[in-house]
Amino acid sequence: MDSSIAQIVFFVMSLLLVALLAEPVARRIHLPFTAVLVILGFIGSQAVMAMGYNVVAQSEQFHDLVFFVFLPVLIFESAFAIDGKLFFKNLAPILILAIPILLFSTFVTGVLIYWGIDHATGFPWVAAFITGALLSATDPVAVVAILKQGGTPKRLAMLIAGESLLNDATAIVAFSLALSLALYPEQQITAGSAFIQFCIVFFGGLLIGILVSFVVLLIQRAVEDPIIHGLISVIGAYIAFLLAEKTLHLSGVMAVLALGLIMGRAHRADYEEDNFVERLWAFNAYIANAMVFLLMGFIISLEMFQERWLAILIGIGSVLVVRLIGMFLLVPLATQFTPEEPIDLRYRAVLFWGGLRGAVTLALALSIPTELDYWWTIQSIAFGVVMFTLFIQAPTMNSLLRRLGLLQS
Amino acid sequence: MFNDQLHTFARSAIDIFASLFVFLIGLSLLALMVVYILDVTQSKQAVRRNYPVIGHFRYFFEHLGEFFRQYFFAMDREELPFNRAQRSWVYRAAKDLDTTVAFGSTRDLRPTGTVMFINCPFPTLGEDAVPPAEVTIGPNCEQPYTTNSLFNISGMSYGAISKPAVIALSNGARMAGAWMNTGEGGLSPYHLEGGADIVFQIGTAKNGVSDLDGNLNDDLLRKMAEKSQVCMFEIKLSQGAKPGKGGILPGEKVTEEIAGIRHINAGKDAISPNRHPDINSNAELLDMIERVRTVTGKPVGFKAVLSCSVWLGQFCAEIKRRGIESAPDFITVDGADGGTGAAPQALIDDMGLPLKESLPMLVDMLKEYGLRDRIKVIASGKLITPTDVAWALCMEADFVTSARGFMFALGCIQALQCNKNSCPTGITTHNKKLQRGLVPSNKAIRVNNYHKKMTYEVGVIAHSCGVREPRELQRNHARIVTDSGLSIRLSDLYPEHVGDRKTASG
Repeated sequence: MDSSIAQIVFFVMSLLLVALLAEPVARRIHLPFTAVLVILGFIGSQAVMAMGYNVVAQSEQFHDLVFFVFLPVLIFESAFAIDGKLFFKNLAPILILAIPILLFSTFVTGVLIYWGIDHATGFPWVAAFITGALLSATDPVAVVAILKQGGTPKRLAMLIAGESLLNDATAIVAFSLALSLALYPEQQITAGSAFIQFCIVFFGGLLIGILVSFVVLLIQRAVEDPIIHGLISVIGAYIAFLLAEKTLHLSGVMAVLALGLIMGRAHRADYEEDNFVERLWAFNAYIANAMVFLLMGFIISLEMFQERWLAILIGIGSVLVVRLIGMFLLVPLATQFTPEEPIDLRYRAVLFWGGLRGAVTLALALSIPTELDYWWTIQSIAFGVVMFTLFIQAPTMNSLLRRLGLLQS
Repeated sequence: MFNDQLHTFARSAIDIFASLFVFLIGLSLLALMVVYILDVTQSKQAVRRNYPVIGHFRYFFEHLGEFFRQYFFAMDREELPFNRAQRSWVYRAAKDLDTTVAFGSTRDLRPTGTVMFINCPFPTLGEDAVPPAEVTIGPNCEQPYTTNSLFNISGMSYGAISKPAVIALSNGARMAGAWMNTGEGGLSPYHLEGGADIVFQIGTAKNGVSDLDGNLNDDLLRKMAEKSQVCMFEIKLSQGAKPGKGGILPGEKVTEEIAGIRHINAGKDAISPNRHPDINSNAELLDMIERVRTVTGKPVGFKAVLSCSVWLGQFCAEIKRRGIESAPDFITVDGADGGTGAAPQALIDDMGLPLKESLPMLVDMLKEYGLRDRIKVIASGKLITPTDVAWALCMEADFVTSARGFMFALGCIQALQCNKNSCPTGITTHNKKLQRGLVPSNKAIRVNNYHKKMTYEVGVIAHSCGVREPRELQRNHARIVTDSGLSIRLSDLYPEHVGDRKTASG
């Protein structure tokens, strides 16, 4: 038998090879790249299981892999690549989308799912809110790929990217609060203490990001080598995430997000376009993204859809209804109080249908401990919703954009 | 035990203060870090990028330096546009304080261009002195304008200067018997409020007398002339500080009030073209003068920066061809060193001739064509002290006008903020809080004092030169220092044409 390190290397390389093959296949069959990865991952897992390995049993390990290895990369890269000026110009609507509207979605999705499943003992309120939180984080990867084709207004792309960047943090914090309530039901949580806890975790993470970026910038200015700059940014991203998330129990996502925004600004001031660090992170993000969706395909099992199809349908319905209310009722209401121009109706239609779910939803679903009886239901709903957005919403985005006149053909 | 309680209380108080102290230190460290991050990640200012955090001191000190230099380091004769000696004279005159100085002159009499008056061995006795004579502008008009005020208020629009400033000036001008020019921004109720004589300026946008498309409207002009306070009309061709430049009053500043005064649309940008669209030749200029004069029945002249003697000759020739009555009733010659609220530095510094050259050029040209009696000459541009005014009179100007001199009388401290809405003395700002400092009733008295003192001291110079009143000053009453370090009589520097001006010899 080979050593286990060699096995892992072989395994990872086969996954990446699969990812490499997925790109031309996706183009041929007009599905998003990420959707094809899921399919290939699923096929792979079936093949591996046919050979006698039980992959699904390892799915708990996958949570840590996604959460501590791939998520920091994905968050950092999105923040790093964002156009800071445009981001801060649209900060008010982005914050509205990412905080109050996300919390609203968490709450209402939870309520709808609770009523839909209607099984208070097997699926209590707290389970419903955990589901609501993890279903609320949007993931723009598939949509951004479409928007990159050109012709879409910059503001729209910024709203989509900015929303998903910030609402990941909010969703994860809300999820953790709900989960701790599920695990330790004896603790007293009032609305006030939950709010304070939320603020501490959210802004504490931000603070860690600022501190880490200060140190990173000090080192970066002392050395002139782009390879060192690339390395220090990778180290910074992981340290910020782990320091906040593991050591201090603050929001790791916020820490990495702040670091990414600051480093992006620093690099745009220091380097020409298309520099080494930028490419390094594009590369990292490509791998992280491919791995996350391949792993998802690996973990999905047909039983989920056979056993929990009703719960999945309820989940999909709730998510769509809530996002509809959010985009067409709450957004116009909220943007009345901000100085920026209101968000165009067509943009809101794109935000509604383009609100895909991805890596964060997946990672959170995988992190639910199996000692909670309803973990299987929640995971099924999460996977079902992600599959729906990947296979139904994402492929139809193109024609929606075209119909709204937001895409040059 | 009371003592114990006190002890615990002191303990906890110290604890609280200590943690507060630590918290504040932490907060300032965090602030410094954020400043550091912002500095090194920006690419606009090299100093901040290379010297993060401490680089800010440079901007801070540079800002402070402006004040330090003015308060501590600038010598009396050093600053520009107006040095402390000049400004102090105006301040003291306006406050009706003693304007005498002690020990000796602080003025360096050696630099080229220094003006010195030639004292007469037998100065005019007080009892022989006479006040400045009355002069009539536009004697052929239906309503000529006669005044004895040598020194008058140059054009400042309502909008460029604040409401209390306009009110103070118009009241002060009435007390002093001086006229007040409206500037190109139209005639505001505040100009009229004090009851002073008004010269209505027709700027390139013809504010106040134009239709909404910017064309001159005869009905509005006639209505303007019906106001008895409005004594003359001045067509502004150019302004000393920015010849060849118009201006934009941004839409948000065009309030209902301004729009009403200027007869323009509220909320839209008000654009002053850089030339009157309908005046592009000598003929058109004279046509326009004739038209305004016919409609209003009042004296009409124009204001311009004069730099081209060839053009001036052609213009005089055109007047001669049409007949002497077609001439403008006055010409206001503005020096390149004139002031403004806002102008590009290239124009404010380098465009046009200063009065020193353009005033004699104009006077000589008018004499050459025999127009000197017909056309009155008004000199303006940085003439704020008796010396300046007396020099202009030696160069045979009939009147002198000043804007900035009167601003100093209103309390201007030369903070150079006119274009920023942050004038610390409330003169050129629309900020109500800053305007509060300017009390019109007090400042009107200062305007009057300044005018009185000016007339008096110009008279003193005239009497020392041996003439009875200021307008009798001539070129042979002053000398100017030349490159050689020795001075030369103005009459030698600018040789007199055979005078057709009636003079009492000096």
